[in-house]
Amino acid sequence: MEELILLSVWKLQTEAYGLEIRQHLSELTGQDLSVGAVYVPLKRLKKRGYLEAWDSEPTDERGGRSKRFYKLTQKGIGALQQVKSVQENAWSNLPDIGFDWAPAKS
Amino acid sequence: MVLIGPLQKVNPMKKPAFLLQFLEKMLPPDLHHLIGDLEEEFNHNINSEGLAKARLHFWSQLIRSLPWFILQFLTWNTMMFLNYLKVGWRNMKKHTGFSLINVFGMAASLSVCLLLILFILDQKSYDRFHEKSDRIVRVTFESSSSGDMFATTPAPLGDLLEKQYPEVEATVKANGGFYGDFRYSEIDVSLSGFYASQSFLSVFDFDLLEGDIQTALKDPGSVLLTPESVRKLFGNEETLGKTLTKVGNQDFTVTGIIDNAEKTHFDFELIASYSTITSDPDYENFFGKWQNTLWNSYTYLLMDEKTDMAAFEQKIQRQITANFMEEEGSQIARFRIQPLTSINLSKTHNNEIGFVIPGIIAWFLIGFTLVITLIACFNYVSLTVARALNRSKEVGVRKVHGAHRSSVIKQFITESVMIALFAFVFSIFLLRWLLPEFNNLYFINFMGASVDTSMLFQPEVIFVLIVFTVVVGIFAGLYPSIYLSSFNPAEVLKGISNTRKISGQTLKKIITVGQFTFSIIFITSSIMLFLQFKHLADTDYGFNQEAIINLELKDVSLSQVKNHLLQNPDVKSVSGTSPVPGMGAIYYEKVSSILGDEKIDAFSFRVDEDFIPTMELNLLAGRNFNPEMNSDSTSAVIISTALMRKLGFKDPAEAVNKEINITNEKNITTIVGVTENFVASDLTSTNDPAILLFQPQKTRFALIKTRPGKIIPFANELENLWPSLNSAYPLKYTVLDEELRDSPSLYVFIDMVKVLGLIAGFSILISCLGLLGLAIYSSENRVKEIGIRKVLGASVNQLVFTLSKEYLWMILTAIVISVPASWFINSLWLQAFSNKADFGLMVHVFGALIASLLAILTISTQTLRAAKTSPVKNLRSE
Repeated sequence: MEELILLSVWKLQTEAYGLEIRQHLSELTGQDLSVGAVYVPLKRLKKRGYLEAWDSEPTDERGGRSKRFYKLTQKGIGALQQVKSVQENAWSNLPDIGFDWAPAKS
Repeated sequence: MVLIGPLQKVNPMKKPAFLLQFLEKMLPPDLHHLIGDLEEEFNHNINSEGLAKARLHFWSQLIRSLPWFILQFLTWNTMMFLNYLKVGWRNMKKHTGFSLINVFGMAASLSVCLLLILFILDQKSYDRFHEKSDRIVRVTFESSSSGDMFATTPAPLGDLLEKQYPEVEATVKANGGFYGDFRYSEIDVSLSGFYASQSFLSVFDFDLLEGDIQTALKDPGSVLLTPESVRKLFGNEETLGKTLTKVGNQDFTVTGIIDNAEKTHFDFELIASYSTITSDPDYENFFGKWQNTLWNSYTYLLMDEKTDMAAFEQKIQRQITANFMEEEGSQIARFRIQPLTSINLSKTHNNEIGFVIPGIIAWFLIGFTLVITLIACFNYVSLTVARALNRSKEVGVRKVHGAHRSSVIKQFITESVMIALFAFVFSIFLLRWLLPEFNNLYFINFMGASVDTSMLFQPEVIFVLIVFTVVVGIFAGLYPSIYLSSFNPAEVLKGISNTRKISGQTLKKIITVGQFTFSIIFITSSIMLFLQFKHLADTDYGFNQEAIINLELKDVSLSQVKNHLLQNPDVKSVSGTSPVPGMGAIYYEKVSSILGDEKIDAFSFRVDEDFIPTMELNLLAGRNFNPEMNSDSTSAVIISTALMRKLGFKDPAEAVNKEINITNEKNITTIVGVTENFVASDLTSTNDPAILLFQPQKTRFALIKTRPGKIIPFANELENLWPSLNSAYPLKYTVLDEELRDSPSLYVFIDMVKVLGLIAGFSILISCLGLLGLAIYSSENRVKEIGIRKVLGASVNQLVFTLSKEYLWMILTAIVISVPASWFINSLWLQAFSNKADFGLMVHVFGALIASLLAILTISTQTLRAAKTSPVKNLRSE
């Protein structure tokens, strides 16, 4: 999940605030995500230094509340790249699923 | 994906505004952007999918995230609370003096409050130890003539109710009036209690230490004793099955020992079986008429759990017309059902079976507690508001950092609650000292209402006390927190030059003046009470009470006593009377002059010819009674000067040989003598109208005047002499002088002096602490001013005066208000006394002086210090 969040922050660029991130993720995963499911990891990522956050000026549309925007830090980008390379390594050189081996039936 | 499309106006009514606000309150400010997101999404969804779907979506978000929200809420609040505690603690440490003043002031009043709460809690706990206490009720009635409530009911009522109404599971019948002298092998003890039916032991849960619950109250002539009565009568002997005699009545067999240690409205030293009354043929005759039992019989019912009490009360009213009617209607206007546990502290009922504290006392005490709480809170308020300047910066900084007003309020309330809790700890220590003093008060002893120290260790009691303390803390902190949190950070942080504007000067003044007004009233009142007490104790009775023994005659005749005792060399004279003057009058006579119709109530005494010489009453005119003259016993009276005046005679000589009417006497009576006034009833009045009737055969007490200093040897001799008079009753005598001094009204006075003295002490203490706080504060804040004044040549004296001026004004105002107020309040209770001490203006001057002196002393500790500090030191720092 953390990876997806970081990626969506990346993707949304200057529009990366709570609601957009959640909507984007909901679209990506095809599930309607709850507030908690998104904000808890966001906060954690911020605390660990993968994300940076700042609050915008409050707008009327939001009942006078500000938006909290997120932006990837260098550490965040590094982490994403690392995850990607690890995954690519893991995905490469996989044998084809053949006749003598089939996925377990769940 | 573009979320923010062309902005459409969203009807604000469609927004779940309430929920959003709620979330805003609940969630930490850190998460407010989330609420914004939710709202934005909602608005967006309305546009794209319609209101219904938007709502659905919003709600689903809310519910799915609820556990997380709650967690956030809890952690945030705990964090903030811990922070408030930390800041509160730092503040208390930084201003130790102020904190101590606050803590002590609050502890003093809290301890009194807690004591009163303990007392009420204790009283509330009466009769709760019975397992079925919530199902037991008592039937009472309302009198149709007076409208008063009576605790009694006609004796047959219980059986009727049990028979006719299935919801009545059991009835307990009781009858008062089981008292007298009880004798067991040479030992006589006066005991009192009541008769109770067999069900008494099964319905109520009194512990039967010895004996069989089933049979203890079954047979006629059975009696249960309390451990105390057993000790008095039997010492350490085996008691069960022994026979004791009710002197002048019948024998009883002890069938059990009943524990009376639990708190209950029943008051007994022994209980006899109800069958004792019913089996007695004479009594049955008497009991057959319900009117005879109306004032002395009690009915308790054990009800079925599901009974609707109000409906049941309604149902039983028909018993009045069915069974308890007299020709002229009924004495009983209404039956009432009174739950067992609310017998104590209820509306006053006449003819109670034991001693019950009326509910009005509880209300009075609650009112009193509130006043004391207010005094303590005021102190806190005035001190905190006075220091507002010091705290304003803090408030400003907090607000700039994003604190809401509500969190500033919470912070200050946390602080006041902390102070209150510290005060609570102190007050518990104070209470340990106060409780025994309280229990020693005469009326507490008299009512058996002492508060057990062990109550302080019961968890639920501690809980109630702590809750009370926290409420007091919140209450005290309420105004200061609202006031302090109202500061505008921009103004406050810029620095305020005008101290006066911010430190609530008017409020501070009103509170201080109010406190001192109350203190002076309390001080003056307690001095007046004490003086009145001294006055009563020193009152001349109008007769000589020295060296007189007051002997109860019982079945011995006066002449027999006279014959025996007059031979004794120690005895000067013996006289008969009924009642004894000065011990609370019992008998009245309605007297009127032959011409006038105005009937005067006069205390009457039946005496013999030796009464006047024995008591050394001063006969102003006329003569004493003369046994030689037959007419004296039917038509001669001697009256007191007060009665003479009321009858319209100008001087004693004029009254002698005049005829008067006495309602109860058939003959027209002649005044043969007039005595000086004496204390007829009790010390509260020295000039009650009194009338002496010559009826030696009706006297019930012998007053024996011994020679000076012979009273103790004679009393010893009397013990030996009594058996030779062949009385069925034990010897009962008192020393008149001592008995008069033991008058309850004097003890109640001592109690009042103690209680009021303590309150006066606490109140002046709290007021002075408050003043001390204010003085410290103002001398700290006027340090520069003092320095400059000094440099410009002001002397120490002038400075002290300048600094104290403000307070002197306040005290002066308090004096001006309190003197008339205390004069008025005290005249209210003094009206009850015709025998008043003569209070001059000095009492008020003295009360005011004490308060002012203490106040000035308090202020001067600060002003002197401030005035003496070197200006160099004060002005250098900047």
